[in-house]
Amino acid sequence: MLFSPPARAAERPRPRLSAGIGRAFRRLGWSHLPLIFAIVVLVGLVVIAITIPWWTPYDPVALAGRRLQPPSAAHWLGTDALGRDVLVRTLYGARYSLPIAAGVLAVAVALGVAVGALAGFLGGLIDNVLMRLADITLAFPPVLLAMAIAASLGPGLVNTALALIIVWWPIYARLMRAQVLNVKKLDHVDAAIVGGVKPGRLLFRHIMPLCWSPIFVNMTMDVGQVILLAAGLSFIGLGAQPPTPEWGQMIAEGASNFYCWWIALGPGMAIFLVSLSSNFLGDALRDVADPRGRQ
Amino acid sequence: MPTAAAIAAGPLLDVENLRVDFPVRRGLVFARQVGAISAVAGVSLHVHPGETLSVVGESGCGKSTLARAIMGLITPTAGHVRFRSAELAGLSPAAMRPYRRRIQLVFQNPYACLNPRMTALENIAEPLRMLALNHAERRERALRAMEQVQLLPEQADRYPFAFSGGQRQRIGIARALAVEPEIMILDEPVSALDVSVQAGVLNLLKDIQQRTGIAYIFIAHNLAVIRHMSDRVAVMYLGRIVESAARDQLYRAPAHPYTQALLSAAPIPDPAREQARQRIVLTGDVPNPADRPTGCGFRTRCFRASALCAEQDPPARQLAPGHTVCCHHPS
Repeated sequence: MLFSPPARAAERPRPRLSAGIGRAFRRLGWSHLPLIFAIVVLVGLVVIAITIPWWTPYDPVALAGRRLQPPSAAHWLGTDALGRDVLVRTLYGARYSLPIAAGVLAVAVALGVAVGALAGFLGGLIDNVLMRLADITLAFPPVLLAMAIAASLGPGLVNTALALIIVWWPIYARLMRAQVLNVKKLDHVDAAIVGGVKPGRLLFRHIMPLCWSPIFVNMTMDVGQVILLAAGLSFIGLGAQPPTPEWGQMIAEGASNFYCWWIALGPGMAIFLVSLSSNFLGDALRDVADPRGRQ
Repeated sequence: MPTAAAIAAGPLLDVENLRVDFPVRRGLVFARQVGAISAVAGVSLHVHPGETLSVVGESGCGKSTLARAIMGLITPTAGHVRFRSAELAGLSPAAMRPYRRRIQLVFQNPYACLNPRMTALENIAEPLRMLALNHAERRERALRAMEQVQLLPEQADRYPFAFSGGQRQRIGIARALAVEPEIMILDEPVSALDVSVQAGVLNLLKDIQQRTGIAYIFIAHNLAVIRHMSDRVAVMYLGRIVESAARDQLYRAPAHPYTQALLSAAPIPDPAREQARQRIVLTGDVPNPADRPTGCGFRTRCFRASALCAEQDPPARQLAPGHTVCCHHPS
């Protein structure tokens, strides 16, 4: 026989559905577990934050039972010093912490990217002025600077967000500037110049599209950081004000009733889970987004 | 080959005494200039319409810097670049733009010269924005340029990573060709490619020249490739052109010792003659361009160097019409 006939379907063992699921998991492997965990936590929290008013048994700011109750069937994470349900308040907290993180990052990244791209692309005096501005901001310890700004603007969530934006934009400005400087040196940018491409298009179409991946990776990593710092400002009384169920503010209340460990447990775990997840997500994104790995 | 009339009309591109010096700075805060690397140290050359001038030289002799300086990607320190008697050296990017459609550059590295976030067609169509064309016209002309370099229209919407090195180089050539320039500088267009695809790209370039009458400055270090491509050859060493002549003249009667050494280093594809080939082996390395030898730049490695060579920089002298050499002891 010159060639062997193709193996007939009947000769091959038929895969069962359950084996299929097992194989899919094996193919994805344990290395994807952190990513799956991160997606489940973050998507879950967003869904909860949106839908929570429709299904919680308690109001986050109203009396739900006797005060300082330890966890029980009626109050899974107990009640706080005013008799409010800690779990419900924690879940409601996602409605404050997540939008703050998203909003702060969106504005800080937009500002930082614009400044950094301009500085890197134009160079010279503009680069120097903009980057010294960023350096001045970065010279202060971030927590201290955020505290000072939040304190001078007055307490409140919006002012906290403003303070965080001022602290955060220089990081992205530097990152973007470094990226632009690197990409600017590549041959295809010279080729575009030889092709008579004008400066604006050169920046937007030939340089910036290659600059984004570290920005995105850094953003996902920073979600946790922003939530932490926002919670920190609330903890010391500069951010959200009572009775807002903001995580940092709740931990502050827990700290004043230190023997009732469950009061701080809910918001503490929430901050921990979100920070961890956003870091997992950032790690996974970095692996995917690295242009050298993509080809 | 250019016609006699084209030569009589004067050169298309005339480079005169072009210099590119990169400053060497010391000190972190108050940097001061302590020296300069002369990558291009006074190059003069000219190209007639429809002609191919090759520039040959070893790595680091300034070939690519010369190409970039002519294109205005690097601002020359001194000298002139005249395109049909318009001065290009020292023009601002905006002032340079009108000339870009008439003088184009093909890059050495086909893996880096295309925008990875644009399709092949978008890459090719990008320089067409210089012309007053609408989107459909640009697309049509880019497709025509693709056809000229033997790429298929169904490949138009693929991204650069989906192409091989040879195909990418042809995309790069199509991009330069699309605006129908009068002269194209080819910076080692085939040195990054497999030998098997080199010939294809070279013959394509010759075809295009025959059809369109475009002029080339062909930068290379492969002598066989240069012999195949050029009308005239200029030999570059340490930032200078040390000898230039018509191709056959140069290969038959090289006068500069460096040219002789280069030609003697190329193997001959004939075992009997290869056996008899006399090699001139140069000793030492190319001198540091930041610290040029006194007198002739080549004297430290030259087998004919004399006391005169250390004292005086040899001026260009004409051995025959069109054959110039910078050497005190040409042969």
